[in-house]
Amino acid sequence: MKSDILLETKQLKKYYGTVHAVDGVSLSIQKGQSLGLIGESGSGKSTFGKLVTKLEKPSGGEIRFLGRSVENIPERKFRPLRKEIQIVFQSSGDVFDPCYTVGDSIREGLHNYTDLSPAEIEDYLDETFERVGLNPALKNRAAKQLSGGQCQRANIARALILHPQLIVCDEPVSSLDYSIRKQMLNLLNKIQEQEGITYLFITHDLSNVPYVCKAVAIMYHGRIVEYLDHTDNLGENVMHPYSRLLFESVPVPDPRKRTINRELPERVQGENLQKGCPFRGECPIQEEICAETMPLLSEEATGHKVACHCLHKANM
Amino acid sequence: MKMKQNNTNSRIEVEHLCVEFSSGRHQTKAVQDVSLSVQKGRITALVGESGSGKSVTALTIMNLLPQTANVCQGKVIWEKQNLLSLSGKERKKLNGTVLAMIFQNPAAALDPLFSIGDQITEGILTHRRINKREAREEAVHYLQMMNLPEPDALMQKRPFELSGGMCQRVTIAMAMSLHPEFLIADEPTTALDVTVQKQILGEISRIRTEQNVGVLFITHDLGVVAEIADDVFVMRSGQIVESGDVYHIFEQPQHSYTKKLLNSVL
Ligand SMILES: Nc1ncnc2c1ncn2[C@@H]1O[C@H](COP(=O)(O)OP(=O)(O)OP(=O)(O)O)[C@@H](O)[C@H]1O
Ligand SMILES: Nc1ncnc2c1ncn2[C@@H]1O[C@H](COP(=O)(O)OP(=O)(O)OP(=O)(O)O)[C@@H](O)[C@H]1O
Ligand SMILES: [Mg+2]
Ligand SMILES: [Mg+2]
Repeated sequence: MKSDILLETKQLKKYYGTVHAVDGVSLSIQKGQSLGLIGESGSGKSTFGKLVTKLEKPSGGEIRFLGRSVENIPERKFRPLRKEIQIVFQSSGDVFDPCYTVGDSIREGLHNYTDLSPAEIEDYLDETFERVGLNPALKNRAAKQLSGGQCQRANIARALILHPQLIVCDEPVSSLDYSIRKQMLNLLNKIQEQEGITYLFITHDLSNVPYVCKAVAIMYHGRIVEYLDHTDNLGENVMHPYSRLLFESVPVPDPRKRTINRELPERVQGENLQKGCPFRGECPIQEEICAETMPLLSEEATGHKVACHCLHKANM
Repeated sequence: MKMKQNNTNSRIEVEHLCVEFSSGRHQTKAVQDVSLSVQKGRITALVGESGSGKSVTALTIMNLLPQTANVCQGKVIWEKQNLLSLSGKERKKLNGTVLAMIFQNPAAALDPLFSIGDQITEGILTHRRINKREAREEAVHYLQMMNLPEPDALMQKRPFELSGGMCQRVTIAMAMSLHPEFLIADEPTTALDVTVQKQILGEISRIRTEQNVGVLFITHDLGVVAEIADDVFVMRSGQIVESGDVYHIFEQPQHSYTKKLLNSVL
């Protein structure tokens, strides 16, 4: 149903000079659900997150928020939506102004977007800090006086406190150890249940995905190479050779099963990227067509799209 | 108590370290009686809960603690000298030659105003006796080693033009290009996808074996520990609660916190 879609992009593009950071991404997220976005470092995940929060201007394509096209509306008209669309930035250390305490930065957001009294703001701030597992006294510190993981949680608190409809979570738990990570993911799930919040969840930790997300998109070189609308047994279900390589690379917590290798893959670079499949250099299957035409996403099973010419061979 | 040092097998010994922060009347004990050692030719993992004092321990070794920190007790011994009691000038000489650090927050380690190429070559020129052209070649070589696409073009770029994981790899390249004897790596792969992470771990374990570098590898990812560590120290609330070789830690963990860490995979 159309009305259930909170966020939708169509052929969204962002070019920085010759770098095609996001190159025709069409995705949609149902209201109250979460989409996981995973993929190679440098493949355009954060750029996609910045485009949909309107922190970057797209080079082409469409962004719809609650059915309304927002990619070209002026900031003045977009402002009421700002509160509804929050982002937890990937490098949490730089988000907070170094001259202020993290509490001051968060209070400012509350001043701008709500009409809570100063006393209410303080209570609310303390409560939110406790929810993310931080001692409220830490609100009086500058970001650089917090540990990496504490700063990351202050960042999550900053986004949650405004009760937005959508949060782009860009690596929100990357600096957290497993027990706090689990606590944080549980919190995100609980808030989703209670408030119907929607997440775009960008992560390198593949085990997070089924925990939080109903659907997942896998990105390689500016494009979505695989999309699944279900995330159970993800590692076994992915079909694209890149996705398979990704899941095979997850380190196993057993020192007797070491797999680290030294060979760097042969990657497709420069002009050769204009044509054909960008993954072909690293791909175990290389056919003529791979160097000729860019594979497009096509539905291989219900709710499962893959962009690969040679799937029949890849999954033998 | 003085320990006998074995020079052929040089190491960094942190002994009974305590670090406090004071802001106004408040005091935070970040590190309490931590002892650990980092041997050349071995990878020593330091794991533990967020806020447990891992970065503070690393910054103490590097002599990079902020003004508000106070080392109330302990030593950092290298080649029979206590690095904490060297003069500022003597101590400074060691960073970049004997010791190099990969910081937890890569963006903060890079200067936003200068190109990647200028930043890496400057480091190399300060610490190694080679000329400018050679230094640039070295820089490109290390960027390539980090599996960064089109390293020549990357040399011209500034940090904001890079993704989170690309910045992180640049900082690893910067530290490695100095050819240090010890590499202090604070969560060096948190911004990387697992495929690239595997390649970078491969490079770190190669410099350990081939160049006899001693690595202190801070991480919360036990999968990563299992992949590369030789020795493991487990930290909690400012203290080391368990240590041992990697097999011992994974196969016969003693402390309840270590067991919890091992079981707390999602
Ligand atoms: N402001 C910018 N100017 C120029 N190029 C940029 C800019 N921001 C990103 N890029 C480029 O766009 C590409 C995608 O970057 P992005 O940050 O979206 O990657 P990512 O998927 O988030 O990677 P990571 O997992 O490493 O964070 C990269 O090649 C990067 O160098
Ligand atoms: N500049 C500072 N001023 C005051 N307290 C600090 C400062 N830096 C760190 N701390 C405190 O010292 C403790 C240890 O911090 P540290 O950064 O060493 O943790 P960590 O183990 O590296 O955690 P993480 O895994 O989250 O990075 C934390 O409670 C932190 O809040
Ligand atoms: Mg990113
Ligand atoms: Mg730290």
